[in-house]
Amino acid sequence: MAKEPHPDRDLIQGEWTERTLVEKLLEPVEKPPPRPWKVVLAVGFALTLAWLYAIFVTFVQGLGTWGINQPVAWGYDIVHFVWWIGIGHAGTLISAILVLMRQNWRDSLNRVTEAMTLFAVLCAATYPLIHMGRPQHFYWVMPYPTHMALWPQYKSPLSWDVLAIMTYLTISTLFLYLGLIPDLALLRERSTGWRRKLYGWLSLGWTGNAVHWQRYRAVYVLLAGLATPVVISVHSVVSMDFAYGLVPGWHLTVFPPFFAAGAIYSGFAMALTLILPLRKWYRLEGVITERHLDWMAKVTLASGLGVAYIYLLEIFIAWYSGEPAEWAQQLWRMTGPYAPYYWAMMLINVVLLQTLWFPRFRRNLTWLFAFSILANVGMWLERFVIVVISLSHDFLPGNFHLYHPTWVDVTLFLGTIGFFLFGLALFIRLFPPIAVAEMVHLFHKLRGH
Amino acid sequence: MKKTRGFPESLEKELYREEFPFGPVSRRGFLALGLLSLAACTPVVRRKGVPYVRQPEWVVEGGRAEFVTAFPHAGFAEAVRVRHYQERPLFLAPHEGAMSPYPLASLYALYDPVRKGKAPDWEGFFAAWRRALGEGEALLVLPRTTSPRLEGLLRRALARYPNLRVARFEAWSLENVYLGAELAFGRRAWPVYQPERAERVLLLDVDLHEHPAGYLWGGALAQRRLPPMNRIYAVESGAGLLGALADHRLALKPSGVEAFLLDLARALGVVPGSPASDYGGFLPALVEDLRRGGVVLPGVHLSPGAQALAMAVNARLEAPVAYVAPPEAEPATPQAFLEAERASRLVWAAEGPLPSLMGKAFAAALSLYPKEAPYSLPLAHPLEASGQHRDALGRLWPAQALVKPLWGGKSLEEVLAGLLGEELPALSPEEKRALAEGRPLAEAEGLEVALRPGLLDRLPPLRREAPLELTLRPDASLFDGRYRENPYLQELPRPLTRLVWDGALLAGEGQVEAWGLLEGVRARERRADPRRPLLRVRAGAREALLPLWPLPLLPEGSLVAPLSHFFHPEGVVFPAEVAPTGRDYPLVSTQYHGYLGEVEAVHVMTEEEALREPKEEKRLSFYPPWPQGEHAWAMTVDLSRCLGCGLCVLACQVENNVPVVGKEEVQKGREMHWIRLDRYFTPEGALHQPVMCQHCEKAPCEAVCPVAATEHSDEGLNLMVYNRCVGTKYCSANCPYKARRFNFFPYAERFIGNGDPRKAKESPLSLLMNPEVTVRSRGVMEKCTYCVQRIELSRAEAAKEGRRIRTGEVRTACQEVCPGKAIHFGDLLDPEDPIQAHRQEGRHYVLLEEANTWPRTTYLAHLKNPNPRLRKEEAHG
Amino acid sequence: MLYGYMAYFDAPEKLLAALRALKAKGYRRLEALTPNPVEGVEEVLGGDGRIPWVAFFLGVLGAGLGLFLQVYTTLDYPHNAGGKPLLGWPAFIPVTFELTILTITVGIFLYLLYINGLPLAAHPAVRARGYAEVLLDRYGVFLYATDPRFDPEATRALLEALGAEVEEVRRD
Repeated sequence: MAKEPHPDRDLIQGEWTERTLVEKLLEPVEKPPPRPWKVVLAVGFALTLAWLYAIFVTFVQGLGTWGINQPVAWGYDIVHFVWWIGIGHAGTLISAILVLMRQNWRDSLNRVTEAMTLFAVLCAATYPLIHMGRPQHFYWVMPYPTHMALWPQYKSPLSWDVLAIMTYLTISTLFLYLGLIPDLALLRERSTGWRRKLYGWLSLGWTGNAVHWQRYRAVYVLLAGLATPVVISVHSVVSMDFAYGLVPGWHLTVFPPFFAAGAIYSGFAMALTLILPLRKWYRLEGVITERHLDWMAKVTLASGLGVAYIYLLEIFIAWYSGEPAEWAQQLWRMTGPYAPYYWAMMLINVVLLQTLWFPRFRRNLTWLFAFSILANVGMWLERFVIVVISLSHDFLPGNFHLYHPTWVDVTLFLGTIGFFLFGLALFIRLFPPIAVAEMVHLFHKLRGH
Repeated sequence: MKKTRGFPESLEKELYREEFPFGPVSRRGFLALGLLSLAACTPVVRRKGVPYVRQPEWVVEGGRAEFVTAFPHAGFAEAVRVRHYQERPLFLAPHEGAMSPYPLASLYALYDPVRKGKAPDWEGFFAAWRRALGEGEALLVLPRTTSPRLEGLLRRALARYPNLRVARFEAWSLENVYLGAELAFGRRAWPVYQPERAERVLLLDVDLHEHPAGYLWGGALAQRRLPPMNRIYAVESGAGLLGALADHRLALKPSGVEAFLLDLARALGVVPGSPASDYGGFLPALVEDLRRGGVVLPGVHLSPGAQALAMAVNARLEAPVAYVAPPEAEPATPQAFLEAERASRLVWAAEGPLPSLMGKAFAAALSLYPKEAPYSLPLAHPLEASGQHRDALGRLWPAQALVKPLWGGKSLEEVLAGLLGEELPALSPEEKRALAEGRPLAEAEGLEVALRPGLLDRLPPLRREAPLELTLRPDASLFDGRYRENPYLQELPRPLTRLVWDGALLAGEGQVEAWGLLEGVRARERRADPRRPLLRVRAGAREALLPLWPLPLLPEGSLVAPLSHFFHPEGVVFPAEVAPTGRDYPLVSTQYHGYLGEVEAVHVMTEEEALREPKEEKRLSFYPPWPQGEHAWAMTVDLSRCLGCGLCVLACQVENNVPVVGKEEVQKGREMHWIRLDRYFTPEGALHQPVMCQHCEKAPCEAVCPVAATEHSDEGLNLMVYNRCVGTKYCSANCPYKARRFNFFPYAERFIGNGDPRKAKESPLSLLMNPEVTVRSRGVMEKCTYCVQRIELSRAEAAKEGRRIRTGEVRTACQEVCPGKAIHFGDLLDPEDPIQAHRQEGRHYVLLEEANTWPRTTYLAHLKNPNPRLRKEEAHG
Repeated sequence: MLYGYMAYFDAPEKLLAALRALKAKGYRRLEALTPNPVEGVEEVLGGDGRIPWVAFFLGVLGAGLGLFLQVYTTLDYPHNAGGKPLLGWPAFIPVTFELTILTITVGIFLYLLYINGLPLAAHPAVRARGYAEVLLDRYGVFLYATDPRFDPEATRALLEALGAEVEEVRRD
């Protein structure tokens, strides 16, 4: 008696057996890399070196080498901190939330997005360290018995940030690692020499024991369940860096969901930016199908709509509140010297976003790729609007002042992008960018085994 | 650790032993670990201290003392109390009334290593001078001096050396006043005004720093800005702080100001004729008001005829003005500059613009700072030598030296004495008594004057009209350029323009628009592009390149340029021509947004509104209050008395070791002044508001510091713990008043090291630093502390004497120096402190009340007393 | 020296049937090796219900740690930060929450490794030549030679009867 075909059958397209599927999925690791990968690696490496130099300049000469001033005490450093953290959220969402929602289409996407999360959070985590005036005392935010008998101040959102970022980094790394273990075991068996040793160590001696698998699965789902509130809470805590403040434009209770929606939006956009070229260069169309891309575009649209709604809500709240400084801030955003940034953000995140309603646009991979980059630009602009523009025009006109970034600010940003790309390139060379064990499992499920 | 060093080492071990959970670690060991990580940080300063071998009985080593002395500025004395600590002067406060910023800022010049030139060879110089005097005519150019002793020395020198000629040079001259008195009364005299006794005051083109008594007037006028208020009218061609304070202001070109004065004289019947115009109703209302007890305060640069008219008007109004003998033996004028340029043997001892000293048979420059000249010798700083000077009221004050000349300088009296081969005598017993009692040595010599009739017939022509009239006015900070080396003054934002580090050509917005430059300037302002068009200004056969700065309050056709950047030896008011050069020059201002907008930061009220009941301050909280300490410190700032002069900013800077950061950093928005003096233009003038840390009871900055570097004391102070700050700058972002300042670079080390942080260790400028206040290094946040070092000092003194802190014993630096006495610091828990009364006034309000921060620094609204006649009609200008 | 037998099955159902049969026959020292988690293994080989409980207790520990950290540090050096009350419980939520999650995450991961006996330096099954296939598409059972019921021929016959491909795993 033939079973009914699985509704998600077309998530893996093409004629495959387990073995051929695994061969395909392990190609990035086992076969020589395509040319574009080498370019990405080289560019990433060069930018990473520039990044290290900019950090060196910052440490040696001081924060004056940046563009921050009074009143804009937070500039590109915090804009990029929030930008990177937001990007990381897609990975966790795909890994964790979609597992709990039993969405099969996450299986081919989760590894590369989890790796994206890891490197995004690493990039983000450098900023709180280097933006300190006295980074040599960074450890004072940790609770240890100091010689001043002082402890960190736990009512401050920055102290919450420390814990939130640490937790997020840990749970992302562990989740990624946990998912990697069976693949590492597979790679261990297929390689020789130093690679076998490397994978052997990293796989912790995983044998594929069925009882181990059961426990593994339980912990995996548990971690997924834990990662879900972490996704929400981490970006909420980051948003509270602003919502806790009095600055007009920051002081809104809608910030946690606003930032969460924005994070999912920018994360999925970055995931698309990474997955579309990966799919093309490694010819992974069979496992990352148009349906996957369609779903990703839909989630991008949904979260983007949340973001767009809150932009409009912000304007309404500023007017409705009757607070002169709040409304003045909105007008400053719309008509002040930074107006181009604001309107570009609106154009991308509100107007161009609407194209994703139409399957014609969602299916056009060129547009999807272009929009994914634009969406991240739009989210960068949004963080700029929130951080810099709000600070430049707060309450008293006597202290309004503009912000001009310096080469150090820009190099630090490009450097984090470089580090991100460099890390990811190395990652997909050493570890399969698509979760092999999970794909094989999915393959079995879809073929009705 | 070596055991050989013995006592000091073991003492340190005992004193600095700290317990760690894992065992005792001496601080030295801990520091050694820490120092390893301090690779790129500031060096640790190590000094050796050597005590007295035989300590004089009265000396408390490095103890505090206060001395009265007279500090001359442009020849006129300002009585100051100098705070002496650790054997050197560290702070100045006015002794009576008010003082200008120059004495306080000059503390920098006292310790400035730039003053060190070659080792001064005084004997060689005197010998060369005598030789030159033997050869031919030698000109000695002196600045304005009011010292009888100096005049005596001069007389003897002139008698001894027939070839000696003396000229007096001042770029900003008072000669017109003396000439005016001669016209009006037939003899030269110096008017001394008492504006606090007048009900109505008319300011004619005069500002705080432009008159020797300007700051005294400022203080006097500020006193009368509370109910029952006086009424101030201003007619001016520039834009000054006193004019901005006025209830009614009329902006006219310089010729227009003098024509107005003539019309006023006609309307009052001082001279025959009727006024040519009624200035849109302004003149009749003014005349009516002045008759109720008014005084006219004219600027010193008005032509002699205008001065005479003003004196006649004052006589007619029976204004509170007395006349004394001219303080100068001979008036100092800018024309002496031309004489100096022509002379072949010259000793230049004046201040401000410097003529070329090259190519002369004998040329010497005597000044505070070394100059390019064959002979350049240092003059003593006013705090380094004794002397005598008259103040703006004509009284003679003694001055005493408070520190030995650090760079081998001599005062002018010592120079003349040296020329004569004499020794200057020590302070006389009368002088010592006067200094100890803090009173003048001699009162002013009053003159009886009477207005001679027929003024109009002998009146010389007033200023003629021209399409563009340029007035060269002294810069509020640099004066005529003499304070160019003083970074405190360079970085003090100029009144109304808030410019720093430069001099600009000021023109009204209408004028700039007529030149077609306004749109470009506004576009650049919007982008925070500092470049402004550089213009060539031609006046009276001299020209200068000046960048343009549009200022709202100037009338069309009137231009103002600073004397420090454009000097003319023939006077200060000229018809001018302006041509664009096509080039730009960056001008840096600390405040670009000049209008209040929607946020009502400065409240303006009329007298009736002020007498009503105050609105209850809105305070919202779910939480119980924190327990109160022994005192509850608070501060009120009276915006009705604030002149916007910036002395508070300067005093705070000197007292709290706030560094100067330089033009480039100010352009980026990183000036470090703890008090920010905001200036908001209104149709009639400008409003000023000093904003410093408000010490909020619900401080948004304290709540967000992750390392607990800023906390609230139980006495109400928002404490900044420098050594705990890691520099996340969240507190600065969260402060709604933006009162916090961050050290983006090692500003303090750069400041002390004269630009190079590595030189800070050996620089004598570290002597300028107040030892009671931490010098902050890179990466640390700072802000107003309510002068916590003074609070703690008073607490210690009170504890030593077994008493409580007295009412008014703690005075913050800003409070001490304010000419208008606008700032009041006190204890809310002290029933005798007037601060409670301030907070009950109808004018009292909290800045940004809607932010719910519950600040301890509160404001009293600015009061205006407009003329009901003028309120209904549109005031001209 | 014979480590044991590696039996390869083609389908998870066959594996489960074989496991039941082997259990019924009394074999104890065996391990099932599969490329994915297989439903039904718990019934045959015994499940592990400890994980949720361990996670719960770790959560309580984490929450307790978080609260203790904040309350202790606040009370140890109490100061007024912004006029807020000393122990503001809303402000303590984020750190407590994050520490709870962190504790559970790290703890449960380490616990997983612990109960699985990982890291494992060596395992006899890995020496089987066809071991790699067990990580791909075949389902394996490794029978230890030290099992009391182990008999080279009988066990092999049984396994082949159950439909497996049998391989000897020897130490060389």
